[in-house]
Amino acid sequence: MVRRFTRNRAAVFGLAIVALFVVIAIVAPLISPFDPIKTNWGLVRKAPSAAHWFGTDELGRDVLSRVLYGARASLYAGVVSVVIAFAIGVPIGIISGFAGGVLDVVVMRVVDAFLAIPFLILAIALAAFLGPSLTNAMIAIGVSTAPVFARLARGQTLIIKVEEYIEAARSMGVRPSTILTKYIFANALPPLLVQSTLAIATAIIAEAALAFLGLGQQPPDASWGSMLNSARSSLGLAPWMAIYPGIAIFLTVLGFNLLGDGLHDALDPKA
Amino acid sequence: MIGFLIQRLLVAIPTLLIISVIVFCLQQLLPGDPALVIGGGEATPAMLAEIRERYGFNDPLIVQYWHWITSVMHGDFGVSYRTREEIGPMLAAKIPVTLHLALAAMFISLIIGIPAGILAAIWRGRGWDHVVTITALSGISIPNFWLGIMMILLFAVNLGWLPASGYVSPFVDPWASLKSITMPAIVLGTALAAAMMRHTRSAMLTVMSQDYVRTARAKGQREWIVILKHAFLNAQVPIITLATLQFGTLLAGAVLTEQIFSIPGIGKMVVDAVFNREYQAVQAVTLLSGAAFVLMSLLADVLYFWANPKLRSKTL
Amino acid sequence: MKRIASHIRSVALAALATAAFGAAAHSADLRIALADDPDALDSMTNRAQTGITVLTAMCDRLMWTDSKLTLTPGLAKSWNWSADGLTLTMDLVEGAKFQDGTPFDAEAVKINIERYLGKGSQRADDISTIASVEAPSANKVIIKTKVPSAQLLSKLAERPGIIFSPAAIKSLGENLGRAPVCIGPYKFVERVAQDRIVLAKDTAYYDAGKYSFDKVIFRIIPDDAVRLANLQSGELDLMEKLDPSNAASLASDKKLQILPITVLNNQTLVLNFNFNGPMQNPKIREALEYSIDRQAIVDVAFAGQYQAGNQFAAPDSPFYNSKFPVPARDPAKAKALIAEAGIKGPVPFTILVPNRPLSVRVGEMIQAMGSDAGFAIKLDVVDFATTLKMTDEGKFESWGPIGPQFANDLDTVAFAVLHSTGGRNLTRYKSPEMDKLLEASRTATDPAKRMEIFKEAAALAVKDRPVLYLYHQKPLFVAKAGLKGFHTTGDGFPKLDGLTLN
Repeated sequence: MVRRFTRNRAAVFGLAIVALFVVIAIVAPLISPFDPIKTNWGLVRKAPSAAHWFGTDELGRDVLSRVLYGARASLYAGVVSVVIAFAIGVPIGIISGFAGGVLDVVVMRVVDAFLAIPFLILAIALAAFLGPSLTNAMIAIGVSTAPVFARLARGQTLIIKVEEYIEAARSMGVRPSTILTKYIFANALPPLLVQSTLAIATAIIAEAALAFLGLGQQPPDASWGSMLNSARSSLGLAPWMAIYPGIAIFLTVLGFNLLGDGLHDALDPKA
Repeated sequence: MIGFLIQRLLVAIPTLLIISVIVFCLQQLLPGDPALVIGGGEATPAMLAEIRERYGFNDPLIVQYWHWITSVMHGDFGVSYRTREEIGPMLAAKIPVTLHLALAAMFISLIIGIPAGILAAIWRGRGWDHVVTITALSGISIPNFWLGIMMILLFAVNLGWLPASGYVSPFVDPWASLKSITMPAIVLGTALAAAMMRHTRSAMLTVMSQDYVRTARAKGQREWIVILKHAFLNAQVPIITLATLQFGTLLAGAVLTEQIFSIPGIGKMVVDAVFNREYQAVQAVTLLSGAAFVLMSLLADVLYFWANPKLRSKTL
Repeated sequence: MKRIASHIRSVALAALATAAFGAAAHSADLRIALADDPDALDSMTNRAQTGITVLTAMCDRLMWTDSKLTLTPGLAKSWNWSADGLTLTMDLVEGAKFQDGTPFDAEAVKINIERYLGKGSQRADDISTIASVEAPSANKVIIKTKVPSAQLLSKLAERPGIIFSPAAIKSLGENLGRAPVCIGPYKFVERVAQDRIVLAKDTAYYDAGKYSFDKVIFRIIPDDAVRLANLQSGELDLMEKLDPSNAASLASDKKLQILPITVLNNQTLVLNFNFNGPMQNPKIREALEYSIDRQAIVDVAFAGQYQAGNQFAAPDSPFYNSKFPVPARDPAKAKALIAEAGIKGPVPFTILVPNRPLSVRVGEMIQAMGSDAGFAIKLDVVDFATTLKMTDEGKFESWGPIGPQFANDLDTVAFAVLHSTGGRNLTRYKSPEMDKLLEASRTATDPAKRMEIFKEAAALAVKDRPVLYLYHQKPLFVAKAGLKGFHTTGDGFPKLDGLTLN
């Protein structure tokens, strides 16, 4: 499986991008040329130069440093919201699929209903309810993504639960809770991990979208979405304020998508 | 067939009801007292009490829900607190706008996604496949609000070819309408084109390994005839089904696109409504988009069923 | 099947309806971009200022104020006060008709003022000194007040001076704002929510000759950059609320002109005295004042286009108390004051900031300035509707930049914020001395005396610091170079008489 993955050049490329941004996020304080929140009234909206490679923003802050630090907020938001979605969705899906019957029907109707409401509208409404902050944006995205995981986990459970080894375990008197965790969850994990990788990509864009609407990371800290938000009003004056954070979002999301696709192909050679 | 339809409809009804409950509850969670928004910053406590009484904010939630759902059943979505306009007619004016945008985006995604998907399938595993795949993934990975900003910067601010924002109906001025819808449709269609490309590719790959395609090839038919006639015609079904399903996502994607290009559709309506605490407008749009999604899935099921003889015979 | 057909029909109808709104612009049309979607077009309930922009184009008021805040005649062609200052007699213009054809008379004025005083009115407090309204003849209105009222005329030159057709009030009731009918050069045609409001010339208007456009189309474009891009590409003739940062680059654009206007307003940082925190200590408030460089805010956030200030009136206003000039920034003094107050380390403190790009920019600057003057400031950026709720419930430490805008009388910017019963006194500032001054200003019908009282109140506010006055906006309009005759009312709204476009 590992070989199948490494043979996929696109997937390796994706992994490299993701790794690069993870490293950037970790060492941001070491490699940033300036303090990302240090304002400089004399250097407002200066075009890219030798001192400021990506230019400066509306308060004279260094855009490059803000993009580097922004990697922290965006990656953090992507990963944590998917962890939340996973933690809510997967247990619901597995239990519902395993129990079957009325419980399954009811739970799946509710999940369907959640899935029917456009993701972004749900996330915007939730983020507005919780109040604007990075944490709340992550919760909103996580909750809105959870139904996808519930669906997938249930589907996997339905396939796995009719396998012979589950029957065998049952007849041997293994406790249902053990069957759920040891057999079903363990076997459903690979496709769930693929889904998680792709969901991180979506979550990073969603966080940027919420921040763009003012519902994410709060000033003065940088996130790519909030940088785009403040760039919007001076688009003609200082396009670099919008260009670089946008490229950063694009590359990171592309990395996760390539990685997810590669994992998917490696796990499921038929596709 | 009819039995299948009835069965699907029976499943859709409770889903719709649950959506309505979720939508209603969601609104109760929104911060900001609507009475304060209606009354404004200068409202006195007596004025606020009067507003709460008039709009029924003091009733138990279950009563408020009942009032709301019965009015909605009668086509009454309520009145905007802020502008005193009725929400029903407002929606009626906005739906065609969003539909226009969605159709234009769908068109763009089809003319890009399907040929690219077919090519990627033909060249499977070769250099071009990777190029197409990475291009498609790039399409999914570009945040569409950023793409919108960049396009405005380039085509409206710098080159001045296209209007920066706004919407003109095609019934009024087709040329101006085309110009106004081009950028938003590209922005919204890009991500979808990527999705279409991936679905087309995998549908084509499945079909191309089937016996009848091999037979056609063995008969010595020309390759492009084999691909277009035998493979693509058969791969159509999953592609159409997926396109139908994507239509729901399109409506949701319109939210940010409409915001950036100031297009007066339902996406912009819902964002503005969230920020203005227009409970009833948010409820109406969310309910509507949920219902649209359910109906589209129903349609996709029917299409799939109808176009798939094997499935048909099994169920009947 | 029949139902489906009817649905298809209704969708088609809706499409046609949208088609009608989207009509292409005519050369004799004036296309104005607004930054916000107006709320109800009814001056009894409306509170957002964009709504008044539209109503100003549509409706005459009983009186007007010009840019020097002098009262000029409107629907009332003349007026006078009785000797005791308790009776106001107004003579109305003759022969005017509402846009629905209803003749204008004193009875209509009486109905409207009583409506503004009645249940559900946002204007009741504005004109609360009115005791009764009488219509002794068709063209004469007599208003009796409970006490002498220095600000009443200014209010009648503001929202409560707009007179709607009694027939429309009767038929539309609380939904008057959907399709208002008043007396004025342009009548309401159509509104597409979040998109446009279309007005057409009322040829029956008594003063129609002064207005050169057949149609006025307000387009709603909230995004600053997009609004400007539309003006530059020729889709618009006039726009409001230019982001001041763009002013310098536009100055060289020969096709456009920037039209700054001067209007009474101030933007402040509201400090909540009921919030248990450092701001309850006067020394800390003083330290905060010394941490702020107001001129830097004006220069960086507003490209020098606005005016720094420290009182409710701007430094160039006759109402400004020049004994208390704008203090210079002094971080050392701020730190010394904090030490004097006996607080160690950076003083933690939170500002609630409305989620608007320019407001956030100011908030971030105050935050940065505070950090090297002994403060650790946290910003809580929340959408505007939520800040209203939070401040009303007192759940905030400080709020800003925020302040009264579009006023035509100092009473509006001072009384509501500083009087203990004021509707916008979110500081919960209670000073018997201030209350006395502000109450005296309301009955002081002698302008010179009134000015002195306001100056004393300004001095008291400088000393107590219930709010920190930061700057005064000079709203920037931008128009095509060919637009001539642009002017605004005293409360800052474009008035369309004499306006032409080449």
